[in-house]
Amino acid sequence: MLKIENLSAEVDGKKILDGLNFEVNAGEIHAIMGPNGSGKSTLASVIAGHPKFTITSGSILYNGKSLLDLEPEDRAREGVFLAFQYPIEIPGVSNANFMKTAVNELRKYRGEEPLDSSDFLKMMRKKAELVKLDKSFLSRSVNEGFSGGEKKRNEIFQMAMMDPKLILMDETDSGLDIDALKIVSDGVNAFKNKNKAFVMITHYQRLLDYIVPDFVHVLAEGKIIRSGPKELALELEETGYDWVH
Amino acid sequence: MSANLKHKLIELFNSYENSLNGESKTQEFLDRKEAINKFEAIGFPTLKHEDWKYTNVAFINKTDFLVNPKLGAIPNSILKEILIPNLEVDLIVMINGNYSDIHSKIISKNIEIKSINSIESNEEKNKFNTIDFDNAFVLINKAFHKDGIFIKTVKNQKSKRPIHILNISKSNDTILTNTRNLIIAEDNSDLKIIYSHYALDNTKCLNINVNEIRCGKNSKVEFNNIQNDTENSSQVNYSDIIQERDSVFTDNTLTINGKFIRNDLKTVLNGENSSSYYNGLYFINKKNHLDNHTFVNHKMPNCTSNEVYKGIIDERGKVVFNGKVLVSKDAQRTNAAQSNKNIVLTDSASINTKPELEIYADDVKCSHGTTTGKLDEEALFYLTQRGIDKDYAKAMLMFTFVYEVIDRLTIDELKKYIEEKIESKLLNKSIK
Repeated sequence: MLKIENLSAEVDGKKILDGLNFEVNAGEIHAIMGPNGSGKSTLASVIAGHPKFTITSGSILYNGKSLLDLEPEDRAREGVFLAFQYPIEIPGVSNANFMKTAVNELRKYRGEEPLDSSDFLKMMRKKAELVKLDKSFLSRSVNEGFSGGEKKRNEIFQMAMMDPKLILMDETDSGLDIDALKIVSDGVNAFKNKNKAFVMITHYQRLLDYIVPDFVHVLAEGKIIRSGPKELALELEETGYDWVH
Repeated sequence: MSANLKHKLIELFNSYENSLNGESKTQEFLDRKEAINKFEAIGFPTLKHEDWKYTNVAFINKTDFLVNPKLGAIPNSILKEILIPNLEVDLIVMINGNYSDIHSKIISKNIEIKSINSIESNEEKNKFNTIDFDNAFVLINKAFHKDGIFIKTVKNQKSKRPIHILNISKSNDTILTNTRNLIIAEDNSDLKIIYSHYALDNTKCLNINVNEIRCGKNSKVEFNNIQNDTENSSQVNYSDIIQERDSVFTDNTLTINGKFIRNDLKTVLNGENSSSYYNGLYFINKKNHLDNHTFVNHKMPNCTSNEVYKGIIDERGKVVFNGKVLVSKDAQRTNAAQSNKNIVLTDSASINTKPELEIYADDVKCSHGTTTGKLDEEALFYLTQRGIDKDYAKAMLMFTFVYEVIDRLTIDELKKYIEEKIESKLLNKSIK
């Protein structure tokens, strides 16, 4: 589904990714771990198309298409979803209107008719239930006054609404207490299937107890320096990252 | 030779005086005469004048205005297009500076609303002699105004509906009109005003509007200035507000369109525990110009003032914000905050912002802050990552930016109207 070759990227002249190779197939869950500042979040942002980063070499193929040729909105419409580490607050725009705009753009891209309001409301209520968001949440402004946990649950709600194929989760577990972590993980586990792939960026093994990865990778100094099965995460928890330098 | 408005106004006044034939001794005439004499002495401000440093009014002096034209006729149907939909109001219509009896429609009984020309009591007339001798536009208004609106609440009575003062300019000529509004909220009463100037059929005009607002003890007054004017319209607005103890005054100035707009707001907090709120929102584009000048004089202890001005400046638009807060020696425990935030979309758009604090008391809490920036790149990425079109996403973010001010509006129908006007202006911009 995703094939990244020799990818280098920089921001403000500073190299962050340095010849990275990475491959993901449908149905797989990958965890990317590594020390602070190693380029983990950059990798997710670059796949999703953040304009702040300049790609200096390499390619990203997604279902055979070059993602680098697409604007971020078209990558999203093709099924790439990024759950943000720091979701943005949008005062004055309700969650319902936000998702209605997003989902209808997606449908337009696929040549489908916009959903009618009552179908849409039904769908939103169902998906909100999945991450235990009260239905009053739909009329509240996007993320405004939300707790850290509510913001992350909202990201998973948005994921469920947009039904993407490739899901990038950027430190979705950070700042979550155990209850919230469990709600978020249940949401993800209910959503995964053989047609979807997940890339989870995380500092901690904790999340991987709830969403069990097929592969664990260590990213350091802009490259993947080690890959292994899920047990690698436990080992990293023991040893830390001092050895990578 | 190009026109010279200053000379024209002085000549006009002289010929008016001659036409009076010795009936020129009334107090009202003497006040007008004093104003024109002072105007003759100071003339129009130039960029050297501190209060007009970034607002050039030379074009006004060079415009050949027809001064105080006659009441024009307008079809009633046109009013529907300008008024706030679904909102029941006491409606006052002014046309070219004259009170229009046929278009005005006053329903409320528990409040006095009338043309200032019909005020009989000298005591009430004399209440409104406030004048700023340093402001050329206020002097012109004083010398030339023909009419205006007098509003007075009844003590201890709540008003039932907002009053909308709709000030229309309509002419085939380029016109200068003057209006005055005298507003008294008696003790323990409340009042909401909507004021809007509108130049019909793209009339080329300048309207000078002066408001004198007196807030009695424990009264609550809200003044909403809706500036959704047409392309050739210029406005100079000047509000003089005096607040007695425990009163609350709110001004919402919402600028959506107009060629040249200058707004002066001056409040004296004259009684303890009074509060003054100024909220401003603007979206200035083309070559349009907006200048918001505010002044709050904290004279008494335990008062609050809070100013929030937020806006977007696009194309070659120019915005000025100057906010001054004066805290006198006796005004202990003053709480004063000022904030002006701008999004500047192009390199040719500009903002000059200057908050000023002058504090003579020692136990006060005062703050001011200004920011000027572009759209937040992270937020834009967030929206486009949800598949939302980039232009639409930009419009959403701009709407979000000014929403803090929209959210402060207390009249729901007005809030909805402003939301729709702002949305459509933002979307028109983005989709072009």
